[in-house]
Amino acid sequence: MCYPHHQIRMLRGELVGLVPLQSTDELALYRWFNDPRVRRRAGRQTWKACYSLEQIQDLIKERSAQPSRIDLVVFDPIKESPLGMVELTHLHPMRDSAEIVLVWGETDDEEKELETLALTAAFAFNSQGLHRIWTRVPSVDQFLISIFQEMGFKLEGVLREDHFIGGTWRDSVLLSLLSAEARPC
Amino acid sequence: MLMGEKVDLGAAERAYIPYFVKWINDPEVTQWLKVEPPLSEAMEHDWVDWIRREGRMVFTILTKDGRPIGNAGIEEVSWKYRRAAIGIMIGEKDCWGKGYGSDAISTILRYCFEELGLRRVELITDSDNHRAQKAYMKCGFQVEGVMRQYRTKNGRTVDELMMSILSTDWFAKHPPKGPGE
Repeated sequence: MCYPHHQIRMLRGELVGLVPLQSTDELALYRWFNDPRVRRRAGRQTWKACYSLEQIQDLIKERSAQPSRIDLVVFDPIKESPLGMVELTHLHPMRDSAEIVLVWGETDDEEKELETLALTAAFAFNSQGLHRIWTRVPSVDQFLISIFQEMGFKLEGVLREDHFIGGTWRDSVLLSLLSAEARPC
Repeated sequence: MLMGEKVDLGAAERAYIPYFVKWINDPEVTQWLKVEPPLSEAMEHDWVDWIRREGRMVFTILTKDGRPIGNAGIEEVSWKYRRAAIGIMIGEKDCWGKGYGSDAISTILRYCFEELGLRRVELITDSDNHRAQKAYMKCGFQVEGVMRQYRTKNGRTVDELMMSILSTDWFAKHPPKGPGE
């Protein structure tokens, strides 16, 4: 997959770029959605155990058609390879709040993930006019929690035993960032 | 993808249809299955379409080097009662008796109990399919009863065994892991 620099709709940082999800991302999503590590980390029982390539194609089409969400693919601008996805969901004209989900498909890279969140937050607040973004992260994923907190997200609470994984119920934490708290990107 | 020790369970891709057609039309493979061959390639395409459309939990069993050797599925899921039935076939006959089936079943059970949070998983099998019963019991299934004259095969009636495993059986052998494991 190639992410040309002249792409019109692109959020560009120093380490990563963000482009809207498109059909040409199907192989990257196919790999990530079938990776047990990525699935477990998401802590979402709505994820299936496996996806066929055709199901991934359907998923991309469905997501692209939904006005209540924006899916962005994170890519490495030097290698021009995809790294993960960031999703803004629960978008609604009457609601100035949205959920942000970071799905990192490749090996963790703190700086790149931080910049991804910073770019997405700037996009959410400055372009989409949101007032608040929030996320839910499995409590066990201290790495991801620390990245959100480093970005300025505040801990709002603990969702007790909200997902079942590894044979037991586990907690998630709820984090949010208000537009006034966001650092300039 | 679900990852076992000997096999992985991936999606039933359209690219695997030539394998599905071969397996499902082999009398040695289908003698224990509740399917009615012959099944054409077009019918297998319809089946893959159905899986895709309905989001069914059907898996193709792959060896660790990516060779498709059979199919398995989680069916009749009742979220209300947290139970499901499973089915499996190893279509590649040179892979019989090598532990691939048992590993696929264990991998599915792990997913059922440790991720889906099911309480009970059941299956039915021909009473004379002793090899399969041995594999199911190795994975923790217990025989619950005999369903008399459940179906007809080659002009004769066949009894079926109802077998099941409960989450308590599973976790007695596979204690839940800690958060970091």
